[in-house]
Amino acid sequence: MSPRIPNETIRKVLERHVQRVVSLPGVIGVAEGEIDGRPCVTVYVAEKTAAVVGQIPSDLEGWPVVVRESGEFRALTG
Amino acid sequence: MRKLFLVAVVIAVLASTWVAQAAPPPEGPPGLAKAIAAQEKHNPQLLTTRGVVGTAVGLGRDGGAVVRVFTLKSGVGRLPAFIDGVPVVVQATGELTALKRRPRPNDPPVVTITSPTQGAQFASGDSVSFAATAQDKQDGALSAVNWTSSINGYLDTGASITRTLGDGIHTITASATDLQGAVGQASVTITVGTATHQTTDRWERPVPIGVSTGNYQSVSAGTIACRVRDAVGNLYALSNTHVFAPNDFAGQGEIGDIVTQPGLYDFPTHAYAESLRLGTVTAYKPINGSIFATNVIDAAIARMDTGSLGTATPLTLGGYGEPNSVTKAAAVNMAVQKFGRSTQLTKGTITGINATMIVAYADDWYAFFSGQIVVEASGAFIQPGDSGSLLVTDDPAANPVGLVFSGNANGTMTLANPIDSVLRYFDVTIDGKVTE
Repeated sequence: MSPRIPNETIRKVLERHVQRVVSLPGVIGVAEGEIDGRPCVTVYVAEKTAAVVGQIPSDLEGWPVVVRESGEFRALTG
Repeated sequence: MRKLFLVAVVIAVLASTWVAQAAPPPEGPPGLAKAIAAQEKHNPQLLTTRGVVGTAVGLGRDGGAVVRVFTLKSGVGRLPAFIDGVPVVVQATGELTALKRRPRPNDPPVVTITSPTQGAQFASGDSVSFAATAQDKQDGALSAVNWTSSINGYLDTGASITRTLGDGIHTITASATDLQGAVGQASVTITVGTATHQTTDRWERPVPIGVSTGNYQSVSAGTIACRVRDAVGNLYALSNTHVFAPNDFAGQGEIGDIVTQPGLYDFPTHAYAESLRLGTVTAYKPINGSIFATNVIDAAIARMDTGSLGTATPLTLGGYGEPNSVTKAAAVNMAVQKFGRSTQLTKGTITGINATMIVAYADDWYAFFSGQIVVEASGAFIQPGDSGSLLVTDDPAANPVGLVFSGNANGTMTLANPIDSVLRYFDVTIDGKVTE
Protein backbone atom coordinates (compact mmCIF):
# COMPACT_ATOMS: atom_id res chain seq x y z
CA MET A 1 0.00 0.00 0.00
CA SER A 2 2.14 2.93 1.14
CA PRO A 3 5.93 2.85 1.09
CA ARG A 4 7.94 2.49 4.33
CA ILE A 5 7.60 5.44 6.57
CA PRO A 6 10.43 8.03 6.82
CA ASN A 7 8.67 11.38 6.89
CA GLU A 8 10.96 12.77 4.23
CA THR A 9 9.02 10.64 1.78
CA ILE A 10 5.65 12.11 2.73
CA ARG A 11 7.27 15.53 2.81
CA LYS A 12 8.59 15.14 -0.74
CA VAL A 13 5.24 13.85 -1.98
CA LEU A 14 3.41 16.73 -0.32
CA GLU A 15 5.82 19.20 -1.87
CA ARG A 16 4.86 17.96 -5.34
CA HIS A 17 1.11 18.32 -4.69
CA VAL A 18 0.68 21.19 -2.24
CA GLN A 19 0.21 23.99 -4.78
CA ARG A 20 -2.47 22.08 -6.65
CA VAL A 21 -4.37 20.92 -3.55
CA VAL A 22 -4.34 24.30 -1.82
CA SER A 23 -5.72 25.90 -5.00
CA LEU A 24 -8.83 23.72 -4.94
CA PRO A 25 -11.99 25.68 -4.07
CA GLY A 26 -12.86 25.41 -0.37
CA VAL A 27 -9.42 24.17 0.68
CA ILE A 28 -7.75 26.20 3.44
CA GLY A 29 -4.53 24.25 3.71
CA VAL A 30 -2.65 20.97 4.13
CA ALA A 31 -0.36 19.45 6.73
CA GLU A 32 1.53 16.28 7.55
CA GLY A 33 -0.60 14.46 10.08
CA GLU A 34 -1.26 11.00 11.40
CA ILE A 35 -4.15 8.56 11.19
CA ASP A 36 -4.21 5.29 13.10
CA GLY A 37 -0.57 5.83 13.96
CA ARG A 38 0.52 6.23 10.35
CA PRO A 39 1.53 9.42 8.54
CA CYS A 40 -1.14 10.95 6.34
CA VAL A 41 -1.83 14.18 4.48
CA THR A 42 -4.48 16.24 6.27
CA VAL A 43 -6.45 18.63 4.05
CA TYR A 44 -8.24 21.43 5.89
CA VAL A 45 -11.44 22.79 4.34
CA ALA A 46 -13.76 25.66 5.22
CA GLU A 47 -16.81 23.43 4.91
CA LYS A 48 -16.85 19.67 4.38
CA THR A 49 -19.42 19.52 1.57
CA ALA A 50 -19.72 16.73 -0.98
CA ALA A 51 -18.59 19.13 -3.70
CA VAL A 52 -15.46 20.14 -1.82
CA VAL A 53 -14.54 16.61 -0.71
CA GLY A 54 -15.28 15.25 -4.18
CA GLN A 55 -12.34 17.01 -5.78
CA ILE A 56 -9.80 16.02 -3.15
CA PRO A 57 -7.90 12.81 -3.94
CA SER A 58 -8.24 9.99 -1.40
CA ASP A 59 -4.50 9.41 -1.44
CA LEU A 60 -1.36 11.11 -2.72
CA GLU A 61 1.09 8.62 -4.23
CA GLY A 62 0.11 6.04 -1.65
CA TRP A 63 -0.11 8.34 1.39
CA PRO A 64 -3.69 8.47 2.75
CA VAL A 65 -5.53 11.80 2.62
CA VAL A 66 -7.77 12.84 5.52
CA VAL A 67 -10.17 15.80 5.11
CA ARG A 68 -10.88 17.94 8.22
CA GLU A 69 -13.32 20.81 8.52
CA SER A 70 -11.35 23.55 10.21
CA GLY A 71 -13.13 26.64 8.99
CA GLU A 72 -11.08 29.72 8.18
CA PHE A 73 -7.91 30.58 10.10
CA ARG A 74 -7.61 34.21 11.25
CA ALA A 75 -4.85 36.24 12.88
CA LEU A 76 -5.80 36.41 16.56
CA THR A 77 -5.84 40.13 17.40
CA GLY A 78 -8.19 41.12 20.19
CA MET B 1 43.74 -64.26 41.22
CA ARG B 2 46.00 -62.47 43.67
CA LYS B 3 45.75 -59.25 41.74
CA LEU B 4 41.98 -59.39 41.78
CA PHE B 5 41.95 -59.93 45.51
CA LEU B 6 44.15 -56.91 46.11
CA VAL B 7 41.95 -54.73 43.98
CA ALA B 8 38.93 -55.95 45.85
CA VAL B 9 40.55 -55.10 49.17
CA VAL B 10 41.47 -51.61 47.95
CA ILE B 11 37.94 -51.07 46.72
CA ALA B 12 36.52 -52.30 50.00
CA VAL B 13 38.76 -50.02 51.98
CA LEU B 14 37.93 -47.04 49.83
CA ALA B 15 34.27 -47.87 49.95
CA SER B 16 34.30 -48.07 53.72
CA THR B 17 36.17 -44.84 53.94
CA TRP B 18 33.63 -43.27 51.61
CA VAL B 19 30.65 -44.46 53.58
CA ALA B 20 32.11 -43.39 56.91
CA GLN B 21 32.21 -39.67 56.04
CA ALA B 22 29.38 -37.23 55.32
CA ALA B 23 31.24 -35.48 52.47
CA PRO B 24 33.78 -36.77 49.94
CA PRO B 25 37.25 -36.64 51.51
CA PRO B 26 38.83 -33.35 50.33
CA GLU B 27 42.49 -32.90 49.64
CA GLY B 28 44.10 -30.55 52.07
CA PRO B 29 45.75 -29.87 55.39
CA PRO B 30 45.74 -32.43 58.18
CA GLY B 31 42.54 -32.61 60.14
CA LEU B 32 40.48 -30.70 57.60
CA ALA B 33 37.72 -33.24 57.45
CA LYS B 34 37.64 -33.40 61.20
CA ALA B 35 37.43 -29.61 61.45
CA ILE B 36 34.60 -29.42 58.95
CA ALA B 37 32.71 -32.07 60.83
CA ALA B 38 33.24 -30.29 64.11
CA GLN B 39 32.09 -26.96 62.64
CA GLU B 40 28.98 -28.50 61.13
CA LYS B 41 28.09 -30.30 64.31
CA HIS B 42 28.58 -27.34 66.62
CA ASN B 43 27.43 -24.46 64.37
CA PRO B 44 23.91 -24.27 65.80
CA GLN B 45 25.32 -23.76 69.27
CA LEU B 46 28.15 -21.49 68.17
CA LEU B 47 26.02 -19.20 66.01
CA THR B 48 23.51 -18.66 68.78
CA THR B 49 26.21 -17.79 71.29
CA ARG B 50 25.90 -14.13 72.15
CA GLY B 51 28.50 -12.02 70.35
CA VAL B 52 29.28 -14.60 67.64
CA VAL B 53 28.70 -13.36 64.10
CA GLY B 54 30.07 -16.30 62.12
CA THR B 55 32.23 -19.41 61.88
CA ALA B 56 34.61 -20.88 59.32
CA VAL B 57 37.14 -23.62 58.88
CA GLY B 58 40.63 -22.32 58.34
CA LEU B 59 44.31 -22.86 58.95
CA GLY B 60 45.96 -22.50 62.30
CA ARG B 61 49.45 -21.19 62.73
CA ASP B 62 50.90 -24.66 62.62
CA GLY B 63 49.22 -25.35 59.28
CA GLY B 64 46.63 -27.63 60.74
CA ALA B 65 42.92 -27.08 60.32
CA VAL B 66 41.09 -25.01 62.90
CA VAL B 67 37.60 -23.76 63.46
CA ARG B 68 37.50 -19.97 63.37
CA VAL B 69 34.84 -18.14 65.35
CA PHE B 70 34.17 -14.47 64.44
CA THR B 71 32.88 -12.21 67.15
CA LEU B 72 31.52 -8.69 67.51
CA LYS B 73 34.28 -7.72 69.84
CA SER B 74 37.06 -9.32 71.84
CA GLY B 75 36.37 -10.86 75.15
CA VAL B 76 33.26 -12.73 74.12
CA GLY B 77 33.03 -15.44 76.76
CA ARG B 78 31.83 -18.97 76.85
CA LEU B 79 33.76 -20.19 73.79
CA PRO B 80 35.62 -23.50 74.08
CA ALA B 81 39.30 -23.81 73.20
CA PHE B 82 38.64 -27.11 71.37
CA ILE B 83 35.61 -28.70 69.85
CA ASP B 84 35.76 -32.39 69.15
CA GLY B 85 39.50 -32.16 69.38
CA VAL B 86 39.76 -29.33 66.83
CA PRO B 87 41.40 -26.09 67.99
CA VAL B 88 39.13 -23.03 68.09
CA VAL B 89 40.57 -19.66 67.07
CA VAL B 90 38.51 -16.63 68.05
CA GLN B 91 38.74 -13.43 65.99
CA ALA B 92 36.99 -10.14 66.80
CA THR B 93 35.80 -8.83 63.39
CA GLY B 94 32.91 -6.61 64.34
CA GLU B 95 29.63 -6.86 62.48
CA LEU B 96 29.67 -8.50 59.06
CA THR B 97 27.44 -6.73 56.57
CA ALA B 98 26.62 -7.25 52.89
CA LEU B 99 28.76 -4.70 51.04
CA LYS B 100 26.14 -3.65 48.54
CA ARG B 101 23.57 -2.32 50.88
CA ARG B 102 25.60 -0.65 53.53
CA PRO B 103 23.98 2.68 54.33
CA ARG B 104 26.13 5.43 55.78
CA PRO B 105 24.31 7.71 58.11
CA ASN B 106 23.81 11.11 56.48
CA ASP B 107 21.91 14.14 57.67
CA PRO B 108 20.33 16.60 55.25
CA PRO B 109 21.51 20.21 55.48
CA VAL B 110 19.70 22.56 57.83
CA VAL B 111 18.66 25.72 55.98
CA THR B 112 17.70 28.87 57.90
CA ILE B 113 16.38 31.97 56.14
CA THR B 114 17.58 35.12 57.91
CA SER B 115 16.11 37.56 55.38
CA PRO B 116 13.35 38.33 54.51
CA THR B 117 11.34 37.60 57.66
CA GLN B 118 8.10 35.66 57.56
CA GLY B 119 5.18 37.92 56.55
CA ALA B 120 7.39 40.83 55.41
CA GLN B 121 5.72 43.35 53.09
CA PHE B 122 7.35 45.17 50.18
CA ALA B 123 6.15 47.89 47.83
CA SER B 124 5.79 47.13 44.13
CA GLY B 125 9.16 47.17 42.44
CA ASP B 126 11.18 47.18 45.67
CA SER B 127 14.48 45.31 45.81
CA VAL B 128 14.30 42.39 48.19
CA SER B 129 17.40 41.11 49.99
CA PHE B 130 17.55 37.38 50.62
CA ALA B 131 19.96 35.69 53.02
CA ALA B 132 20.16 32.16 54.40
CA THR B 133 22.56 29.79 56.11
CA ALA B 134 22.89 26.15 55.12
CA GLN B 135 24.71 23.95 57.64
CA ASP B 136 25.43 20.30 56.96
CA LYS B 137 26.48 17.95 59.77
CA GLN B 138 28.80 15.97 57.52
CA ASP B 139 29.85 18.59 54.94
CA GLY B 140 29.92 21.82 56.93
CA ALA B 141 28.65 25.17 55.66
CA LEU B 142 27.14 25.08 52.14
CA SER B 143 27.21 28.26 50.05
CA ALA B 144 25.13 27.16 47.05
CA VAL B 145 21.67 28.10 48.29
CA ASN B 146 19.00 28.02 45.54
CA TRP B 147 16.25 30.62 45.88
CA THR B 148 12.85 30.24 44.23
CA SER B 149 9.61 32.20 44.34
CA SER B 150 6.19 30.61 43.89
CA ILE B 151 5.36 33.48 41.50
CA ASN B 152 8.62 34.38 39.75
CA GLY B 153 10.19 30.91 39.70
CA TYR B 154 13.92 30.43 40.13
CA LEU B 155 15.56 33.63 41.42
CA ASP B 156 19.28 33.08 41.96
CA THR B 157 21.87 31.00 43.83
CA GLY B 158 23.93 32.23 46.75
CA ALA B 159 23.94 32.70 50.51
CA SER B 160 22.94 36.37 49.94
CA ILE B 161 21.17 37.66 46.86
CA THR B 162 19.07 40.69 45.91
CA ARG B 163 16.17 40.61 43.44
CA THR B 164 13.11 42.61 42.45
CA LEU B 165 9.98 40.47 42.55
CA GLY B 166 6.66 40.83 40.79
CA ASP B 167 3.50 41.66 42.69
CA GLY B 168 1.75 39.05 44.76
CA ILE B 169 2.03 36.81 47.77
CA HIS B 170 5.27 34.86 47.36
CA THR B 171 6.37 31.68 49.06
CA ILE B 172 10.14 32.07 49.01
CA THR B 173 12.05 28.79 49.31
CA ALA B 174 15.78 28.46 50.02
CA SER B 175 17.24 25.01 49.42
CA ALA B 176 20.69 23.41 49.60
CA THR B 177 21.97 19.96 48.67
CA ASP B 178 24.80 18.16 50.49
CA LEU B 179 27.45 15.94 48.90
CA GLN B 180 25.29 12.85 49.42
CA GLY B 181 22.40 14.49 47.56
CA ALA B 182 20.22 15.09 50.62
CA VAL B 183 18.21 18.30 50.34
CA GLY B 184 17.29 20.70 53.09
CA GLN B 185 15.05 23.71 52.65
CA ALA B 186 13.21 26.48 54.40
CA SER B 187 10.39 28.81 53.30
CA VAL B 188 8.94 32.19 54.18
CA THR B 189 5.88 33.96 52.81
CA ILE B 190 6.13 37.61 51.81
CA THR B 191 3.84 40.07 50.03
CA VAL B 192 4.96 42.41 47.26
CA GLY B 193 2.71 45.27 46.17
CA THR B 194 -1.01 44.67 46.09
CA ALA B 195 -2.76 41.41 45.25
CA THR B 196 -2.36 39.79 41.88
CA HIS B 197 -3.74 41.07 38.55
CA GLN B 198 -5.57 39.59 35.59
CA THR B 199 -3.77 39.14 32.29
CA THR B 200 -5.57 42.22 30.95
CA ASP B 201 -4.48 44.52 33.81
CA ARG B 202 -1.50 46.81 33.95
CA TRP B 203 1.16 44.90 35.93
CA GLU B 204 3.84 46.49 38.07
CA ARG B 205 7.21 46.36 36.32
CA PRO B 206 8.84 43.96 35.67
CA VAL B 207 5.71 42.48 34.09
CA PRO B 208 5.29 38.73 33.63
CA ILE B 209 5.13 37.10 30.19
CA GLY B 210 1.84 35.77 28.81
CA VAL B 211 -0.08 38.97 29.59
CA SER B 212 -1.76 41.66 27.46
CA THR B 213 0.35 43.91 25.24
CA GLY B 214 -0.06 46.06 22.13
CA ASN B 215 0.98 49.02 20.00
CA TYR B 216 0.41 52.53 21.42
CA GLN B 217 -1.50 53.62 18.32
CA SER B 218 -3.94 50.72 18.11
CA VAL B 219 -6.91 49.79 20.26
CA SER B 220 -6.08 46.12 20.19
CA ALA B 221 -4.30 43.56 22.34
CA GLY B 222 -2.17 40.47 21.98
CA THR B 223 0.14 38.46 24.22
CA ILE B 224 3.79 38.76 25.25
CA ALA B 225 5.31 35.40 24.23
CA CYS B 226 8.49 35.52 26.30
CA ARG B 227 11.63 37.52 26.91
CA VAL B 228 14.45 37.11 24.39
CA ARG B 229 17.96 38.48 24.30
CA ASP B 230 20.45 39.22 21.54
CA ALA B 231 24.18 38.49 21.34
CA VAL B 232 25.12 41.63 23.29
CA GLY B 233 22.56 41.06 26.02
CA ASN B 234 19.79 43.47 25.02
CA LEU B 235 16.39 42.29 26.23
CA TYR B 236 13.24 42.19 24.10
CA ALA B 237 9.61 41.16 24.35
CA LEU B 238 8.65 38.67 21.62
CA SER B 239 5.17 38.71 20.03
CA ASN B 240 3.54 38.75 16.59
CA THR B 241 4.00 41.31 13.81
CA HIS B 242 0.27 41.97 13.85
CA VAL B 243 0.40 42.62 17.61
CA PHE B 244 3.36 45.03 17.76
CA ALA B 245 2.83 46.50 14.26
CA PRO B 246 -0.92 46.20 13.56
CA ASN B 247 -1.14 49.29 11.36
CA ASP B 248 1.65 48.37 8.95
CA PHE B 249 2.08 44.61 9.21
CA ALA B 250 2.94 44.34 5.52
CA GLY B 251 5.63 47.02 5.72
CA GLN B 252 8.23 48.26 8.17
CA GLY B 253 6.67 51.57 9.14
CA GLU B 254 6.11 50.80 12.80
CA ILE B 255 9.70 50.26 13.83
CA GLY B 256 10.33 52.57 16.77
CA ASP B 257 6.64 52.55 17.84
CA ILE B 258 6.01 52.33 21.58
CA VAL B 259 4.61 49.03 22.85
CA THR B 260 2.41 49.03 25.91
CA GLN B 261 1.35 46.70 28.71
CA PRO B 262 -1.55 46.18 28.66
CA GLY B 263 -2.65 46.62 25.04
CA LEU B 264 -4.90 49.67 24.65
CA TYR B 265 -7.93 47.44 24.10
CA ASP B 266 -7.59 46.47 27.78
CA PHE B 267 -6.94 49.95 29.16
CA PRO B 268 -10.12 51.72 30.38
CA THR B 269 -9.55 54.97 28.43
CA HIS B 270 -8.19 53.13 25.33
CA ALA B 271 -5.73 55.99 25.03
CA TYR B 272 -1.96 55.89 25.42
CA ALA B 273 -0.48 57.07 28.74
CA GLU B 274 3.20 57.16 29.70
CA SER B 275 2.57 54.70 32.54
CA LEU B 276 1.71 52.01 29.97
CA ARG B 277 5.02 52.20 28.11
CA LEU B 278 7.00 48.97 28.07
CA GLY B 279 9.49 49.48 25.25
CA THR B 280 9.76 50.16 21.51
CA VAL B 281 9.43 48.02 18.38
CA THR B 282 12.90 46.98 17.19
CA ALA B 283 12.19 44.67 14.27
CA TYR B 284 9.40 42.64 12.70
CA LYS B 285 8.85 40.27 9.78
CA PRO B 286 6.46 41.95 7.34
CA ILE B 287 3.57 39.74 6.19
CA ASN B 288 3.55 39.18 2.43
CA GLY B 289 0.03 38.95 1.01
CA SER B 290 1.03 38.00 -2.52
CA ILE B 291 -0.44 34.73 -3.79
CA PHE B 292 3.04 33.90 -5.08
CA ALA B 293 4.67 34.23 -1.68
CA THR B 294 4.66 32.13 1.45
CA ASN B 295 5.41 33.39 4.94
CA VAL B 296 6.99 31.35 7.71
CA ILE B 297 6.80 33.73 10.68
CA ASP B 298 4.48 36.46 11.99
CA ALA B 299 6.90 37.73 14.63
CA ALA B 300 8.18 40.97 16.15
CA ILE B 301 10.53 41.99 18.95
CA ALA B 302 10.39 45.14 21.05
CA ARG B 303 13.40 46.41 23.02
CA MET B 304 12.44 46.57 26.67
CA ASP B 305 12.99 49.59 28.89
CA THR B 306 15.24 48.57 31.78
CA GLY B 307 13.46 46.46 34.39
CA SER B 308 10.26 46.17 32.34
CA LEU B 309 9.92 42.48 31.62
CA GLY B 310 10.32 39.30 33.63
CA THR B 311 10.64 35.75 32.36
CA ALA B 312 7.76 33.75 33.84
CA THR B 313 4.02 33.32 33.23
CA PRO B 314 2.08 34.29 36.38
CA LEU B 315 1.86 31.28 38.68
CA THR B 316 -0.92 33.08 40.55
CA LEU B 317 -3.06 32.82 37.39
CA GLY B 318 -2.20 29.19 36.78
CA GLY B 319 0.76 29.80 34.48
CA TYR B 320 3.46 27.17 33.98
CA GLY B 321 6.16 29.53 35.26
CA GLU B 322 9.24 30.01 33.12
CA PRO B 323 9.55 28.42 29.69
CA ASN B 324 12.76 26.51 29.04
CA SER B 325 15.58 28.31 27.29
CA VAL B 326 16.05 25.20 25.12
CA THR B 327 13.54 24.79 22.26
CA LYS B 328 12.08 21.61 20.83
CA ALA B 329 11.02 20.73 17.29
CA ALA B 330 7.31 20.11 16.76
CA ALA B 331 6.17 16.54 16.22
CA VAL B 332 2.73 15.05 15.60
CA ASN B 333 1.09 13.88 18.88
CA MET B 334 3.26 16.17 21.03
CA ALA B 335 1.36 17.43 24.10
CA VAL B 336 1.59 21.23 24.28
CA GLN B 337 0.32 24.17 26.32
CA LYS B 338 0.23 27.92 26.15
CA PHE B 339 -0.48 30.83 28.51
CA GLY B 340 -2.12 33.83 26.84
CA ARG B 341 -4.05 37.03 27.45
CA SER B 342 -7.49 35.68 26.57
CA THR B 343 -7.74 32.02 27.53
CA GLN B 344 -4.74 31.90 29.92
CA LEU B 345 -3.46 28.34 30.41
CA THR B 346 -4.75 25.87 27.83
CA LYS B 347 -3.54 22.49 26.69
CA GLY B 348 -3.68 20.73 23.34
CA THR B 349 -1.96 18.31 20.99
CA ILE B 350 0.02 18.88 17.80
CA THR B 351 -1.86 17.12 15.00
CA GLY B 352 -0.10 18.60 11.98
CA ILE B 353 3.35 19.83 11.06
CA ASN B 354 4.85 21.47 7.98
CA ALA B 355 1.42 22.94 7.28
CA THR B 356 0.68 25.19 4.33
CA MET B 357 -2.31 27.36 5.18
CA ILE B 358 -4.21 30.43 4.00
CA VAL B 359 -4.63 32.88 6.90
CA ALA B 360 -6.98 35.87 6.94
CA TYR B 361 -5.59 39.13 8.33
CA ALA B 362 -8.65 41.19 7.48
CA ASP B 363 -11.94 40.45 5.77
CA ASP B 364 -10.34 40.66 2.34
CA TRP B 365 -6.66 40.27 3.11
CA TYR B 366 -5.02 36.85 3.11
CA ALA B 367 -1.51 35.47 3.32
CA PHE B 368 -0.04 32.02 2.65
CA PHE B 369 1.99 30.44 5.42
CA SER B 370 4.11 27.30 5.13
CA GLY B 371 5.99 25.13 7.61
CA GLN B 372 3.37 25.77 10.29
CA ILE B 373 2.38 23.79 13.38
CA VAL B 374 -1.28 22.78 13.84
CA VAL B 375 -2.52 22.39 17.43
CA GLU B 376 -5.87 20.86 18.27
CA ALA B 377 -7.91 20.84 21.44
CA SER B 378 -11.42 19.73 22.36
CA GLY B 379 -12.27 23.25 23.55
CA ALA B 380 -10.88 26.70 22.79
CA PHE B 381 -7.09 26.49 22.81
CA ILE B 382 -6.99 30.13 21.76
CA GLN B 383 -9.27 33.12 21.19
CA PRO B 384 -8.60 36.58 19.73
CA GLY B 385 -6.08 38.30 22.00
CA ASP B 386 -3.97 35.16 22.44
CA SER B 387 -1.86 36.13 19.42
CA GLY B 388 1.79 35.99 20.35
CA SER B 389 1.42 33.30 23.02
CA LEU B 390 4.38 30.98 23.32
CA LEU B 391 3.61 27.33 22.58
CA VAL B 392 5.58 25.05 24.93
CA THR B 393 5.67 21.33 25.73
CA ASP B 394 3.11 20.19 28.29
CA ASP B 395 5.64 18.79 30.76
CA PRO B 396 7.87 20.16 33.55
CA ALA B 397 10.53 21.15 31.00
CA ALA B 398 8.15 23.55 29.14
CA ASN B 399 10.37 23.65 26.04
CA PRO B 400 9.25 26.32 23.57
CA VAL B 401 7.94 24.79 20.34
CA GLY B 402 6.10 27.57 18.50
CA LEU B 403 4.74 31.13 18.36
CA VAL B 404 0.94 31.22 18.19
CA PHE B 405 -0.50 33.65 15.64
CA SER B 406 -3.82 32.43 14.24
CA GLY B 407 -6.67 30.00 14.77
CA ASN B 408 -10.16 29.05 13.68
CA ALA B 409 -13.26 30.72 15.07
CA ASN B 410 -13.95 28.42 18.02
CA GLY B 411 -10.29 27.97 18.84
CA THR B 412 -10.24 24.20 18.41
CA MET B 413 -7.51 24.56 15.78
CA THR B 414 -4.50 26.84 16.21
CA LEU B 415 -1.54 27.70 13.99
CA ALA B 416 1.92 28.44 15.34
CA ASN B 417 5.21 29.38 13.67
CA PRO B 418 8.09 26.96 14.41
CA ILE B 419 9.98 28.73 17.21
CA ASP B 420 13.48 28.15 15.80
CA SER B 421 12.55 30.01 12.60
CA VAL B 422 11.49 32.96 14.76
CA LEU B 423 14.63 32.98 16.91
CA ARG B 424 16.91 32.62 13.86
CA TYR B 425 15.25 35.54 12.09
CA PHE B 426 16.07 37.95 14.94
CA ASP B 427 19.23 36.13 16.06
CA VAL B 428 18.01 35.94 19.65
CA THR B 429 17.70 33.32 22.35
CA ILE B 430 14.95 32.73 24.89
CA ASP B 431 15.49 33.89 28.48
CA GLY B 432 14.11 30.93 30.34
CA LYS B 433 14.98 28.23 32.80
CA VAL B 434 18.16 26.28 32.20
CA THR B 435 17.44 23.21 34.29
CA GLU B 436 15.43 20.18 33.31
